[in-house]
Amino acid sequence: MKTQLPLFICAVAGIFMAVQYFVPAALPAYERVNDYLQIVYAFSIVLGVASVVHRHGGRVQKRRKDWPYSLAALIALLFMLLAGFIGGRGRETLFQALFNAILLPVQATMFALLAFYLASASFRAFRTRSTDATVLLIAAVIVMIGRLDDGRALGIPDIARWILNTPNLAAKRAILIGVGLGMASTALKVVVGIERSYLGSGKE
Amino acid sequence: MTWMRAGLLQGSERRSLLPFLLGLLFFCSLPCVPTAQAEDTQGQAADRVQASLAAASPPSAAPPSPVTDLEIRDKPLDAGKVLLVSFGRSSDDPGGQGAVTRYALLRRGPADTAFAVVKTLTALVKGDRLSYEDTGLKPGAGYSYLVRTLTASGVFSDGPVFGPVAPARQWFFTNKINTLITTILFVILILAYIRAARRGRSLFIRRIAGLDAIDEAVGRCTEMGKPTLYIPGISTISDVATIASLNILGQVAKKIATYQSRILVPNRDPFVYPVTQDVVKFAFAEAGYPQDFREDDVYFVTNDQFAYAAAVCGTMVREKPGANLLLGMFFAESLILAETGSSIGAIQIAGTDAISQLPFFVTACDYTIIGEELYAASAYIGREPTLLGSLKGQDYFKLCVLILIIIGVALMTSGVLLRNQPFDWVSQILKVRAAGG
Amino acid sequence: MGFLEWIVRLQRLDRRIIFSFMFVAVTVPFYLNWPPVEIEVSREVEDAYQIIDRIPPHGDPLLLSFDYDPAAAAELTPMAEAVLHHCFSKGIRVLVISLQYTGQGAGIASEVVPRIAAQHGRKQDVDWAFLGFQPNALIAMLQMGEDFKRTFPTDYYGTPFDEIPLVESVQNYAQIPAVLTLAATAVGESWAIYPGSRYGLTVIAGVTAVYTADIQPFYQSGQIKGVLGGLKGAAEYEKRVNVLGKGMAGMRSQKTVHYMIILFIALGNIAYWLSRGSAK
Repeated sequence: MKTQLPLFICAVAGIFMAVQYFVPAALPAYERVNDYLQIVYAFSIVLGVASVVHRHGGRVQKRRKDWPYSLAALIALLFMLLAGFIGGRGRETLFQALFNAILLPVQATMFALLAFYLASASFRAFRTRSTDATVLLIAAVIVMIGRLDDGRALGIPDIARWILNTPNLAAKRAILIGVGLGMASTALKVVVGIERSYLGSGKE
Repeated sequence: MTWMRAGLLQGSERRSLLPFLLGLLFFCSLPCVPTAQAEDTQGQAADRVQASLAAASPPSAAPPSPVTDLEIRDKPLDAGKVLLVSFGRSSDDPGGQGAVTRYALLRRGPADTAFAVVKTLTALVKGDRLSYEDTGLKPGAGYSYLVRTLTASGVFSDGPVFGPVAPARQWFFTNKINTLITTILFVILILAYIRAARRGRSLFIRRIAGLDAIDEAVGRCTEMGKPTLYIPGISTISDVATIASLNILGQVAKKIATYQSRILVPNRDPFVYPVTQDVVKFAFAEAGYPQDFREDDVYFVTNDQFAYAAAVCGTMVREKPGANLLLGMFFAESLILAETGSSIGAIQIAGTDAISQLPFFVTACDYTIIGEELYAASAYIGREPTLLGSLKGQDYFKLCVLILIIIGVALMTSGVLLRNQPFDWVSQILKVRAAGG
Repeated sequence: MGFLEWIVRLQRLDRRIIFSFMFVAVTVPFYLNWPPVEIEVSREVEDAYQIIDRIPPHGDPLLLSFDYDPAAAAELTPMAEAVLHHCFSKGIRVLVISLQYTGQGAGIASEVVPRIAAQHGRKQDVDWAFLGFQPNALIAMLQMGEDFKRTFPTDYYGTPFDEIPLVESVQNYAQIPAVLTLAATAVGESWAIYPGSRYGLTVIAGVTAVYTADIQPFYQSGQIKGVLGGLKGAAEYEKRVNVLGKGMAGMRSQKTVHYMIILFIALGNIAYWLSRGSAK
């Protein structure tokens, strides 16, 4: 039952979604299902919060290694919750101020790390060990200069645009077609019940 | 309910209600999901408008010219609940700048005795014609409409009645017939090859270096006495890449259990987490070492992308795994993870269908599994006939696509050379046009 | 240590040295306003500009979707600001939503839009409105194709949909001349795949630089009508509307960093070839 019921639900849902794509008369049912999905999706936020609280709460309770960091995480979570509940989320609220002052810069900082890692990865990996690597390196340099609109006299921006829009796109399209077909095949296997990894062990 | 709660929250035997209640309290503060109350609200709005129209002062000035070119037609390719209404402006309405301020659309259904307002439209819109989609109707029922032209002082005039018009339900999106044919062909190919594989036909799959290297990576970790770090991507369980990754996780965990080594699986999605825990736990049990499974080694971190990346980087630097397996869907954090893994000297095998992240993995990792090779992993590692068959069917459909592309490109190119584009219809075959026309 | 040996050791340059140079390359241009940057408006950005510019003032609104989280804000917020300056200066009305599933996109929108609107004296709910966010992007996109009110029964600030003057004539995509999606993920192309093909909605995409190449097939096939790619796309749009901001300022750092990376790659390859030569 633990395996059969999810497989049955998956099959019914998958077949319905496939049918509604081709049948206009199924639109009202499809819209109703979308409403349900929104609710389920919202619950995933609940589940995320509950999981974070459970994990870090457990670490604090059992005084595991680095438990003060878990306590800090829980306090931050609670503080933002209360700030939102009590002060609301308008323009001049504490919630918005915390978002602008802490969350925005922290996330932007993590994203900014990519620039540094990109530089060190490029330095380490771009070696002209073979003909392919040399061609790749030259293309990369042309694109980097071309994206700045420099070297116009030599036509570098146009060459860079051609590299991005022609050979690069050709390769991407090929991978995209393969990925699309792979996704369709895997989805078909999931609906038919051949692919069961989403059930966990997949066994009764 | 017990197994559901345990499975949903942590997959463990302990049940803790406090975090669940806290999460529920958090949820209650979220905006409610919109429900299908359009018809009720529409009725209430109509009542308000009706009341305001009734309360308007008796006409003391000349009424405006009525709208005479009301058009009602059935919305094509729908469930039969929508009629498309359009009408031109009153001759006394120069684009909303004159005396005419509003148009009220009145409707009488089969069960109604009188006309009632369904929508009021402002005259202050661009264009010579105003339009509205009247929704929530009954398929096959006849509806009549008229347009009431209103001025700011409340003086109005009614146009002629149009109708009855019945919305019709359609049963097939005729603009998607090409999609249906290709879908049927695809399904037939997949099922045919699955059948062939089940009958014992031998099916060849080429070598995928990244998948072969997983054995080597796990062996290296065992020799060095270090754990293997497995990252199942950062997407949800509904993502096909995550499902493919879970397949590989099962096989890898079983191998690690056999070698009596250790596996770390940090999760980003709360729905994926209990599944990965179940997969790894079962793998250890199947290998004959259930006692070696450590619950704390498969854990949920956070569902914030970069917080997750920071936490996993910290794990890499502290635990110093011998191998990093990054298999699944990744976004911008891919390079952060791969570079940190490279800095600790771990052997790295990455696989994703996110095309934009492939260059970063190719640069920073030892092996990269590209795109659909990830989906082939379950068939490649397990060699189960059913999965092999579906892989072959998918490949043969790709061959059909390839042939069509070559034919199409040849025809279109020759059309350009011939200058009169005789083969333009080729590009129209695979287009899915919008339902409206 | 000889010069040759020093060059060869460059191959194993400590990454912290590279990081230090990167830090200098990124920050110094902000203070020196150097190096000079001259960019041309590309075809993709010009197409996006023309679509938005053709929207009649005080008429149907441009749908602006903040589909990104704070991580991508450095690249995409300058785009949003440039487009908002364009719209508000011409009286083009803007209907703002967010489909970033954690709601952080909504937080960004609620800070950026009122700020730019105030600079142009534009009124909330009349010239612009912010309907809030929906966690499931795909479902929200498809629902809006039928009924905006069903998807957003109230706006972000709790005002009922029916009480917002801006959306009085807006029922679904038929009343939306175009959507500009600002996204760092596949949500950008989902707009083209789903509302674009199903409802014929005109889609313009503002995406991060790494995602620009992924979006190009959709632009080339006409499914997406204009593309603003990365910080350069933001700088191009700023140039086009004559309001220079963070996009153009960031291009100076980008120029320095690009050339620095090229220099490091060149040094690394020189070291590599010299080491091969000395090994023989």
